[in-house]
Amino acid sequence: MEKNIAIKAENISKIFKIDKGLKSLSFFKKDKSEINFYALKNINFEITKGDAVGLIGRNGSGKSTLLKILGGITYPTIGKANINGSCSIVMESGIGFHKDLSGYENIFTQGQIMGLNKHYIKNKLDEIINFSEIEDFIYTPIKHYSSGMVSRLSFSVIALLSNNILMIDEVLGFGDIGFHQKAIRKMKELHENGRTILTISHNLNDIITLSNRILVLRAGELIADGIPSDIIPNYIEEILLAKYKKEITTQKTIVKNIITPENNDIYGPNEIKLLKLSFADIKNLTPVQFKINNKIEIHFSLNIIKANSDWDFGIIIRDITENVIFTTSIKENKFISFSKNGIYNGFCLLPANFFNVGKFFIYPYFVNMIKKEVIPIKDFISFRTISIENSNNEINKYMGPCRIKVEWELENKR
Amino acid sequence: MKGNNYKHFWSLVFNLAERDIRVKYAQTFFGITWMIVQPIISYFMISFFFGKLLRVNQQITDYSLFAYFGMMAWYYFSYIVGYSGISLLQNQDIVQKTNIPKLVLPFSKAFSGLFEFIIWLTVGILIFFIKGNHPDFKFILIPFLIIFNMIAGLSIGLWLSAITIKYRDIYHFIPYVIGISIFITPVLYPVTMVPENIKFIIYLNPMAGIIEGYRFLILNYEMPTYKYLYGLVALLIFFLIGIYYFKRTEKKMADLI
Repeated sequence: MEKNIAIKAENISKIFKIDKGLKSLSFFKKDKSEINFYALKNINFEITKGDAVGLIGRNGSGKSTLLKILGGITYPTIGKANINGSCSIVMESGIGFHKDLSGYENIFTQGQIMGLNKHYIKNKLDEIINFSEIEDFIYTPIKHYSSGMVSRLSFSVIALLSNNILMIDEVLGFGDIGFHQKAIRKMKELHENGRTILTISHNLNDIITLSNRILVLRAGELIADGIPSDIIPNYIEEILLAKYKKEITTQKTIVKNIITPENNDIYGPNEIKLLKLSFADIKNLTPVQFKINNKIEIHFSLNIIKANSDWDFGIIIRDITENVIFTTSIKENKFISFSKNGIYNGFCLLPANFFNVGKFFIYPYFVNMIKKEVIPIKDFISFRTISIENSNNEINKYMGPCRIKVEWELENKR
Repeated sequence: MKGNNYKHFWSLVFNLAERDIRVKYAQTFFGITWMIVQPIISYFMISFFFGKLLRVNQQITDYSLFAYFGMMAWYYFSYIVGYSGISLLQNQDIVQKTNIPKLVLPFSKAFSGLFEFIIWLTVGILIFFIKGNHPDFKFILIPFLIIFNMIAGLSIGLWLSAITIKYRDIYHFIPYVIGISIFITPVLYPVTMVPENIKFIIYLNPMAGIIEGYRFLILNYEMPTYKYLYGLVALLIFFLIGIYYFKRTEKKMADLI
């Protein structure tokens, strides 16, 4: 293995034998209904020293299994994991912790389990306690700590790991935003000090911050390997979504072009109801796509039950991570009122050259500025945007939900 | 593996042993005092129930101490067998989520039991002195016996810990095995009471040799026969095979547990 390679996976496969039938109570196993389950299938990659790699994939895709193999917790059925240098692997927060012992005592247990020397830990003790922000309670048994405190304490020991390779499995996902940012910054610092880090996370922002390279696993296979700006837009589902097999129940992947409530009682307050929301020209189950330089036309149909009420109708645009991008409503710019009862049809145009490539969701809502009430509708329609060239090979250097034209200028240096 | 060396192995063993001891006495009222009181009470219980009531002590000069040191060694042995036997199952999180050598876990139990053992040993020797006896040069050899005592427990404990991961029911046999072992070891009775044709079982039992060894070194009993050496050599071989077997199954432990 070359000297500058930190981690090398060679044809790694991990096969588990799963019993298909009921376990027989008799002494002899009559039916051998075992199947081979490939948790990992032929994984090959190399990680250079100093890389920061993010490992993403849905639950059950094999990420943790791969990490366990690389970290030496378990072994591949076929193939080999090569590690060049000392490595620390963190699969769980609070490893080795015992609830009856104090934070102070648990620091030593966890630190030693992670490969730190007792004297090293002693020297760094103040640093650890400071970082964890636990100070006063450090001698109290950890059974009295809040879960956030336990996570902070555990992470503070991790933060001081000195090994050259650090592998982390979703240990960064705990509570308090302030500490979370601190933890991410610390990880970045560890990387900048020359360490190779490999992180598994479902948090998009963390992955972007902590990786200069991303590996994507799906059902045990390595399906993508590249830089974040390439990978993230194309594999966003892999980062955020749940079980691979249960796509049907995952709202975000089904195609939804139209809202036509049968019982529209819940689609609005008493005075106004939503009858229909859709894109223009839809063919029922085909995903709707727009080029990013096209406007997006949205049709709607409202039933005004009480004329001249103060209710306004609008839509919320969200990206695939559920973040709101913007909201817009009918009565925003023009003075419009529903002066008569009955059905009103209308449309709105979302601007061209605004959205980046990706998938977006439109949620209808009603708002009453006088009564100060908002009724969001828990239903949506979704659309995809594609780039103008419409090629999948294009390197996507744009990140974020929007892609807007910004004017840049340089002044000549005198 | 992967950067851990011998020094770190032992450092982990001691840290985990220390953790066990601390946990045992965290939040207790009597703490270590109880650890000292226990052997003293046991001494009196043994000397009364077995010495006076059951009258086992026909040919033995000081039955109470005779039996006490037998109990001390056997108790340490059974502690190691029991606790190291379940050490892996009890620490599933460490087995499944860290890359420390799993051998650390059963070994750490041998050392957490050592703490209590030393207290028993000290109390026993003090009682010996109180009764008007004197120390002997032979005392220097006691640590060797302790190591053999530890190996005796570990050789069974290692096998058990590795096997019970896959076959959980073996775990339930442990208390029975330990219970039987006190009968086939001369803990409470002298070897002289065993009929000649069965004596070889005793000689093959390494704990028998170890216990007779304690009685020889501390209480000045007669030197145990060379026949015990068969058992001790068998013990060492069994122990080394145990480590080998453990290491072989270590690779699969994280998957099976």
